[in-house]
Order: sequence, then structure tokens, then C-alpha cells
Amino acid sequence: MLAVLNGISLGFVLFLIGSGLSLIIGSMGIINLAHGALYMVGAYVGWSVAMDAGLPFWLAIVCGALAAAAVGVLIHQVFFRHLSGLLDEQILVSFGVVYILADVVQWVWGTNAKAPFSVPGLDGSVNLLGLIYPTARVFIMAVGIVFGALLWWLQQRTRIGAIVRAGMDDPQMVRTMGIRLDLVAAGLFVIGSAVAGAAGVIGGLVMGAQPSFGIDIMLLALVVVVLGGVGSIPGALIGALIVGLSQAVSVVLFPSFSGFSLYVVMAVILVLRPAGISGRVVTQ
Amino acid sequence: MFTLEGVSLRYGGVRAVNDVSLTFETGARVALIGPNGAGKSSLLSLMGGQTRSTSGLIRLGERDITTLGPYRRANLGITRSFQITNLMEGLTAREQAELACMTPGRRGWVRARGNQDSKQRAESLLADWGVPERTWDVRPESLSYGQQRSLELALAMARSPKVLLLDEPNVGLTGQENTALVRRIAGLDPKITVVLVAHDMDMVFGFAERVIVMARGKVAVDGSPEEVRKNQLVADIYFGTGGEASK
Amino acid sequence: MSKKRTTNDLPMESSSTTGAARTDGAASGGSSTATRGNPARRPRWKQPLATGVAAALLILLPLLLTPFHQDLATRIVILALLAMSLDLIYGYAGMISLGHAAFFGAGGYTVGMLMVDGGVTNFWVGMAVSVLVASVVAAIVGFVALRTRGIYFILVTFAMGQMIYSLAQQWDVLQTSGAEAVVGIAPPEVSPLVIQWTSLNMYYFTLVVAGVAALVLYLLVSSRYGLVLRGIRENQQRMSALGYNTWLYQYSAFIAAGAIAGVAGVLFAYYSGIMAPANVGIAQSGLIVLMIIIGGVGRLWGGVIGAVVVELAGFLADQYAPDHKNLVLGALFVVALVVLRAIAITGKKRASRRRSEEGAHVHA
Repeated sequence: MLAVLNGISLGFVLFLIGSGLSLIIGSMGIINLAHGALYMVGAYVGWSVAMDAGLPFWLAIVCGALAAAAVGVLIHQVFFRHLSGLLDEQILVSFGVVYILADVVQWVWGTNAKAPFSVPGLDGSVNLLGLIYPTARVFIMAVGIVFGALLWWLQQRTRIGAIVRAGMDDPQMVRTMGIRLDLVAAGLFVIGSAVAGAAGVIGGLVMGAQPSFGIDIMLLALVVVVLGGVGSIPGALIGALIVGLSQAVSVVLFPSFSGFSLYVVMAVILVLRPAGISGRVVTQ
Repeated sequence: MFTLEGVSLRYGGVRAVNDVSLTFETGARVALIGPNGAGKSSLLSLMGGQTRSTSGLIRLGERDITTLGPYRRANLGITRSFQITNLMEGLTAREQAELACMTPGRRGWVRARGNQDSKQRAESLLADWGVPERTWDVRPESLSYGQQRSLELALAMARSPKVLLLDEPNVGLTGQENTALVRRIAGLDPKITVVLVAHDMDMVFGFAERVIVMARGKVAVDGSPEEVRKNQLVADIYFGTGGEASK
Repeated sequence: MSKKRTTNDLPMESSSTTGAARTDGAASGGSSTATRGNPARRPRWKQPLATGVAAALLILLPLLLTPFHQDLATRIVILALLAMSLDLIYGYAGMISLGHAAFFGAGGYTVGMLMVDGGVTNFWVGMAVSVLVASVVAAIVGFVALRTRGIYFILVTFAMGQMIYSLAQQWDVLQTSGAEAVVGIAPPEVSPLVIQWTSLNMYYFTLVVAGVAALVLYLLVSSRYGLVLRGIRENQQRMSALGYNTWLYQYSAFIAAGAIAGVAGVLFAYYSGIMAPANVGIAQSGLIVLMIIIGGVGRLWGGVIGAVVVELAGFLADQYAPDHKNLVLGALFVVALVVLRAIAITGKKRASRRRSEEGAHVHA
């Protein structure tokens, strides 16, 4: 039971980062493999604010989001904006940014991993239906649910959401309607980056911060996107929960092969349903 | 003989092709017309196997080919050209012709045996279809539009198909080139069944013995060019109040 | 003349008039510019000459180096083979695979385990088993990845590569020595030869094995098979409409590339004596992609150039800025990008200038 709850809370962290990545890939066709590095930047900045400076946790989340957004703006404006449809180039930028940020982070914060953040108010436990459970994880789930609801509302019920959805299906059409799809895409990239940064701080409550997050978290987020289907928010949620749960459950069942079994789960699902769970097919 | 029985194609809730039954006699010269979005290209893709039908039967002769993928159908003698000239940008005309001339086996795999002469066959294919020799070793981006079109047709014809599916082969051609193309298609081996999607009425009436008019995924009118020309429904589909006429 | 060209450009002219077009074309300046950049028209002596010079360099240069630098040269040869094997699928077949180091790792770990845990020191046995294992791993990864296409394919290869990495990380469970890495791999017994394993001999041994593997790759890409792969890269839909089982070609290429990567992995294990998760992971896969993009995708020697550049950069970073190797490599990615874009943009300008000149010809 505890494992299931842990899986769900990890799933919500991955949902935060995976949904942004999914929208960025879906709306712009940009494979930003540096998305996980933004998470890592958020986590480290959050550590500085909350643990090092002892400032309030909400401020840490804001700072983490802003820092990641700043990096996001930078790499979008300098690189990705000019690279739509150029996969080789996108891959180069992604790896370049991952390498550089991993180096910078070690430079600034040292090579040692940071322990999970302990924040006043979130460091205790709550009694959840008779189960003693860390407050931090409950907080993560709550944030995830609120964020998911917000995102779903944005995508389904607002004009911006409609534009994004239409832009994924038929960009030509949206452009002829006089909508600056490039601006929408840029906005999405920055917001996605900010959310990744915030997720880094929030996820820091249970995972701390490590230089290897740029790749580790990225991979989990990628599996989320692959399973959920590019561009699908509900898909990302389902994918994130599958990843979180299979990660947490396999830690209990086969502790030595937790990483491996996640990919086996992914492989099996892909063989059965190649277009991902939501079945959204991207023609690229 | 090429037969469609109750063939449908649904995308989500949309019926791109809706319960179409057609028989194409061997050697038929058929034009497929209709307004944009009527399902012509979808139907062609169903015939060529690029898309799998959601229901219905497709037969070549007596053989049920409904579930066969595109390469299996190609090896049974159904070949096609594509709507937008999507030639292979990175390959020269000669290389593309060689690919078209090689004969993959039943599994879609080329064996060395029987393909030693593919280079020579490629050259004679290009020469036969009037692709100028000086353009054989350049990339298609430097070919003229007309040359690209003739290369496209040559590739589809390389292995003497039984059924040839042409998707708007004349888009972008000048009047003169167009006339030459119609003559070329009309002069194909009379044993080949040709199904051609076109917007250009000169082309349609210059070549077809039978014209099928599609509207909203269904066959609206099916008859000789004369019948179609006179048919009031056809005029309605194109110019009438249907609201979907865009061409 | 221009009027004549227009007529000859008619698509449906009969073959009897092509004779005129032929002589006309040969005389025309426009068409000779158009043929530039096409390998088929390059002078015949250039390629053999370049191959000869490269071979001479590969054979003679290490004689002038210290053993320390000979080791670096060996490493570069191995990584070059690895990059070339990726290019078979990435460049020739157009399958952007980001998990290629997994097969390198599969080969290296297998030969290492055979030797350290199984006591198999024979080169032929070790190589055969390891390449088989690498091929099987590639067959599994490729099967899953080829269920998808486009962006999904890239993402799935990325993730599946990590699957092998996490397996490597769990190595301590699978074997007795209790470390993630396989350590203590020794140079093999290459019966019937008896080799003194100096740095120089290790270099030549590696060069011979890698050379044979590279020759196999060369034969593959320059055969009909390679032509079909390139056709699929350009237009999969058209190739299947021409009767090719594109899946089978892509899948077989994926396995072949995995097998060759396995050869590179075996060589690496012999050379370095240790196989660690870092040799298998995404970071390594990213570097291989960087190599072939730097050298130019879709030509085997591109991988060689890329391997030289990337490995030298890594080596220099290790020497002079060991704490910031990541920064150096990261910068290299970005520099490669900028150069690539610059080439692409000037190339496009040249092409459009050429087209407008041609157009002027035709419409004059």
C-alpha cells in the first residue's frame, strides 16, 4: 500500500514534467531532450532557496520555476526557434545543453547529491485513513492533482487550449486563421520549462537534487510521453502513474531491477499498443 | 479484374470512404473525380494498400487482398504514383530507377539472383520514359517539374504493373506537357488497368472510358464520359448547393 | 539553345529525341553545375587515393607515438567503428537511434563476463558469443522501437538504450564480483597467433579487427541493400509502394548495426580492461550521434572524422580541464550545431542560386 502511494506521488512529479514535454513535442515537433536538465536546474535553485537560505518553500518553487524558465527562454530563442523540423540539430542542442548544465550545476553546487529537502510544515507525517504517511508526498499529490485539473481545463475549455490542440492537428489551418503559432509555441516552451523547474523543487522534497537528474528524470519523462502519447494530457497522466507505480512496485518486488523492469513494462505496452495508451497518432 | 466490395474507411467519426463497391475490368481506363475531400485519394490509398480499410473486401482477380500491406500488393502488380511529387530527394534519378527496377521477392526482399541487370534495366527505363540522360545523375531537386513527373510515372511503370493507380499525375504541368502526358497514359499497354484521380477535365475526358464521380466518400455517378458530362447530379456536386464544392 | 532545352525538358518526349538532349546537356554549362556534389561524377582517382592515404596514416602514424598516445589512437579506432555502425541505421537508413551504446555495452559486457567469470580467454569464442548477444539485444530493442515511427522511434530508442544501461547498473546482482563494472578483462588469446600485448600491438590488433568490420559495413552500404536502405530513408511510403518490405530492411539493418557495435564493444573491453555502465549509457550514445553528425551522416568515413574530433576533444579536456569535461563536450555539441547550420544555409543559397540560373536559362 505504501509502495502504491509512493508510486502515485512519484507519478505526479513525472506528470508535471512529462505533460510539459509532451506538449512541447506535440505542438512544435521539438524533441527537447534537455527538458530534464531544466528540472535539475529547478531542483538545485530550490535547494539554495529553501535549504541554504532557509526561505519559505513557496518562494523556492517560484525561484525554481523562474530559473528554469529563464534557461528555457534562452535555449528556445537561441536554438530551438530556428530548428523546427531539423532533428539532427535538435538532438545536438539537447545533448549540448544537458552536458553543459550538468557541468554548471556541479560547478556551482558541488558534485555531491543533495538530500531530499526537509521543509517546515511538510516534514512531518499525516494520518491518511489509518496510514501514517509523509506530508511531503501528500503535498506532491495535491499539487499534481490541482495542476492536472488546471492543465486539462486550459486545454479543453479555453481558447489558448483550442489553438494548441488545433495547431497539433493542422498547423497550416491555424496559421491561415492569422494566429501566430510561433508565439503560442514559444509561450508553451517557456511555461513547460517553468513547470519543469517547479517540479524539480517539488520533487526535491522526496528525491533531493543530483547532477545526473538531467538524464535520469528526462528518461522517466520520456517514457511517460511515449506511453501517454505525444500531446495528450490525460495520456501523460496515465503514463506518469504507470511509470511511478511500476517504479515503486518493482522496488518492492525486484529491488535490484527496478530501473530495468520499468523499461520492460514500457516495451510490453509498446508492443501491444504502438501509438501509446491514448492512441494519439502523430504524423511526422 | 480488380474489385472493391462495400469498402469503408473511418477516421475517428469521419467516414472518408463510405461503403464503396466497384469493379475494374482488366485494361479499364478509369478516371476518379470529385470535389476536394470527396475521398478520391483515400480510395486510391485503400486500393494501393497504403491505408487499410475499416470494413469491406478488396480483390485482385479471385484473390482476397484486403489485409495485404502495400509491398505485398505492389508485388502482385498494383503500383501507384503519389499526389505530391515526393521523389526521393537524396537519390539520383538513376538510383531511383534502379530501385524501381529491382524485383523484390514475395517477402519484399531483393535477392541477388534475377537482379544482376537492374542497372541496365534502370537505364533503359529512364530512356524509354524520356528522362534526359544528362539528368540521370542529378538529384531530383534540380529536375524540372515535368521531368519529375515523368520520372514519377516511370517508377510506377518499371515493373509492368497489372493495375496502375495515378494520383493527380498532371498537377503543375504546362498545357503542352499535359497533352504529352495524356498521350503517354493513353498509349500504355491495353492490358493494364489504369485508375486516375484528376481535377483537370481535359485530362479526364481525353483519356477515360469510364468516369466515377465521388462525393462525401460515396460513389455518386459512375458511367461513360458522355453520361457523366450530361448528368445533372455531377453539375450539382461541383457547382450546386452541396456546399462542399470547392473546385 | 535555350529554346531547344525547353523542348527537351518536355516530360513525355520519345526516346528518339533524347539523343539530342544528351549532346545538348553535355555542352550546357548549367547542367554541369547541377551535377557537382554528386559522388557518381567525382574523378575516379580521388576515392582510392584518399583511402590509400588514410590507410597509410592509420598504419604508420602510431609508430611515431608514445604508448600513451598509441592507447588514445586505439580508442579512437574503436569509437570510429562504433560511430560507423550507428551511421548504417542513422545515416543510411534514416533511423535516428539514440540508444546505440547499448549494443556496444552488450558486446563488451558479454566478452568481459565470459573472461572474468567464465574463464573464456579465446578471442574467436569471445567475439562470436558477444556479437551474438549484441545482435539479440539489438533484435529485441529494434523490435520494440520499430513498432513506432518518427519522433516516437527516437524517444523509444533513447529509453530502450537506458534499459540496457540499468541492466548494466544492476550487474552486481548478476555476477559474483559485486561491482557494477566488469573489471579485470585481459587481452585475448588469438590462437593460432601469439601476441605480445604492447600498446602498439593492441593498436594493430584493434585496427585489423575494426578494419574487417568496417569493410563489412562498406560492402553493406555500397550494395543493393544499401541502396534500398537509402531509398527507405528518403521515402518509406514510396519504397513500400515499389514492393519493398521496408520493415524487414530496417529491422535487419538495426540488427546488423547492433552486431557491429558489439564488435566495437568487445574491442573496447580488451583495450580498456574494464566495462562500466558509463560506456553503455545515454551519455555515450549521445557522443556517438555527435560523432556521425560532425563527420557527416550517410557516409561511413564521416564517423571516423567525428570519432577523431570528439575523442581528441575528450582527451584534451581530460588533460587540461578534467573537472569540466562535460562543459567541453557540451560546447562541442553546440559548435557542431552552428557549423552544421552554417553549411546548410550556404548550401541552400548556392542551390537556389543554381536553380535561378537554370530557370533563367529555360525561360530566356
